[in-house]
Amino acid sequence: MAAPAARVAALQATGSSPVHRAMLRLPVDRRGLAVGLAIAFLVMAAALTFARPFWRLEAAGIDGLLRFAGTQHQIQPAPPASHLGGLRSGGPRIGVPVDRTEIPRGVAAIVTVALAAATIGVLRWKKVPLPFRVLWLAAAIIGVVSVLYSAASATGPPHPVDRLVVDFQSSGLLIMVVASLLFAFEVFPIPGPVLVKAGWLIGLFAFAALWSVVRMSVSLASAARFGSWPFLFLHYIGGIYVDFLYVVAFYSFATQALAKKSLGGRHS
Amino acid sequence: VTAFIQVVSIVVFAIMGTYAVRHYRFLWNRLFEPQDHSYQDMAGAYLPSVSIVIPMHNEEAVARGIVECLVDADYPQELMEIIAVNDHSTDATMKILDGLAERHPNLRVIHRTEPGPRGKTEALKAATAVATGEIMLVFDADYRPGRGVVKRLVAPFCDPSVASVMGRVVPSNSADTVLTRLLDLERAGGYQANLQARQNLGLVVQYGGTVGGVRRTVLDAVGGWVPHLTEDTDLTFRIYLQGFRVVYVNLAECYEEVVQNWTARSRQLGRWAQGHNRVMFDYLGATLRSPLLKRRQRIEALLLLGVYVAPVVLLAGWLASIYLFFSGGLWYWSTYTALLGSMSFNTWGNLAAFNEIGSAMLLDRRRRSILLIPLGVFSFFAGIWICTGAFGRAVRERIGRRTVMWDKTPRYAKAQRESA
Repeated sequence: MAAPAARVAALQATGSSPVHRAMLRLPVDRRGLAVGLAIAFLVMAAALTFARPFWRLEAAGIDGLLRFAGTQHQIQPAPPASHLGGLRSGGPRIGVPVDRTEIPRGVAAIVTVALAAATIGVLRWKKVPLPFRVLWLAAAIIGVVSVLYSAASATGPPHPVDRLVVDFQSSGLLIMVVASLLFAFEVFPIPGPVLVKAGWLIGLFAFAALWSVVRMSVSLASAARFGSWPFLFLHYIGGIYVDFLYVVAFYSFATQALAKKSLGGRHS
Repeated sequence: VTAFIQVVSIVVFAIMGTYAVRHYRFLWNRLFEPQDHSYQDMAGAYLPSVSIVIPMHNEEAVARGIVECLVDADYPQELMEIIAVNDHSTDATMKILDGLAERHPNLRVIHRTEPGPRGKTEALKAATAVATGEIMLVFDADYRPGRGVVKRLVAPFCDPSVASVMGRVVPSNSADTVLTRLLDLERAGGYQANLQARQNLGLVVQYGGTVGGVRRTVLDAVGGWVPHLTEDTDLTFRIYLQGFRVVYVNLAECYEEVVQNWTARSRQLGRWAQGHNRVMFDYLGATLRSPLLKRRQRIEALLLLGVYVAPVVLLAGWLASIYLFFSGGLWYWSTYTALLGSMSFNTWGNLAAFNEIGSAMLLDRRRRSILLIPLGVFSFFAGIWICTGAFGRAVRERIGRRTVMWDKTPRYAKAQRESA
């Protein structure tokens, strides 16, 4: 892609004026689009084919982190594959000893009232910017639900907190598939070096895998050390909200890198 | 209960998925497909008489700027009148306008001081009563149009089917605070990507109430200005339901002050959302039944009318997910992907999704600003809160339990001058 000054000179040489930003459009990088779609297809195929080895690898990472943290734990291998290449049955189970003493209901009530009072205070405190007040509210709601749930049924189904299954949802594999599709249609068609686009996508994959290992390790360690409710809180918040943040961040990094390379356009 | 909430989560997913497809289509169109020039080859060739209206209420900080920009417009002065409406100002607006009127003969000033209804719509009505132009353009007082904006905005009116136009709004104070930077991103996505794509695709384009205008005969035919929190959106749908259309002119760039703090932002967005929801209640049925709209326009109108309900739907999806998570009803993938999809692609108001903002920044050649996109999550969460509250107010307004309260957006030009 020609540098902006050279492009302007070329346009002037052909009798055209530079394109105003209002009418600018970009040529589709067809080769990039093809590469992006191919990567997305390969990621999906790999996710279906190599999910179980990937989960074992992540379980090994969690094992290392929990050892480092001095947290007692036990890893059970994945159950035999039943169908869909074993995807439905999930990967290894990682268990930690959890103090099964339920949170006393009185304590749960006090925590709930305290959180509610703090939330009312935060919501009324206008010096706190609105987005932070809203985030506080969301965290407080999930925190209260976690405490109440733990007080009512700390170790019962559906979320036995003394073990965590490394599966499609928790391992970050799903986000990799989604991100590869996003990049295929939103980043790869933008003119610019394919290596830059692929590089940021691979960076996103690496971050997703790393984050998943850290998140699961922290959730399990918190369950072992503090009981059920921090586990539920971190397991829910960490899985959903942070995935969204880093996908948007990597998208912006990739687009910014491409903007440096592709300031071209043409009359439409 | 669990089964019901699972159904809710599927419905939320379907709605958000539809919005995601819509955003993707816009993004692709704006980035890579031919762009509609919005009759700009006629700019300067088609020169109807124009009445430019500026509603003002306590605008001493900005009144002089907008008037001086407009009297300097690259448009035949004999075809242009500027009508500044001083709507019950209690500051120096009246004095400033009177002084300007002495120096600029095509500036007419209306002082509304008698007791009675106030607000932008009333000011527009007062101006319309004395306006003589074939075309009425409207600018808010804090706007700074460039010299060529007037002729660019009136060019589409050479087509008799065009009833209204809308230009691009560009923040002038984006460097002031984190919030102004975020709003700058949102404006770019909303105008450069979203609105231009809707124009390209022949969908429903909104008249935004400022940096835009309406053909006088059509305005009269559809019933004039109606008191409303979002009189612009209300007018848009009345125009489409009469078989006319609105054109977006991306080349007509005009600078504005965006709000600088969250309190003002909350009020502004809440007002827009409440008014927009009322338009939805009023026109959804008629729009979907209208034989004058193409099928794709009806679908787009449905989605457009629902943009301020989408945050409420998203909130319902989150609450459903919490219930499903703790009750064990979380489906293997579906709820998770629903949440992810919802958060990634949906946004609030008439603003664009994150990817559209990225595209707009790319087209605007603003490389460094692209890195601010992740900070948009703060606006995102705030928007969910504000729009949910506004939805509740709109419902109460609909059932007659709440009256509409106009709230003026604060100006900052004076504060800037003093701090400088």
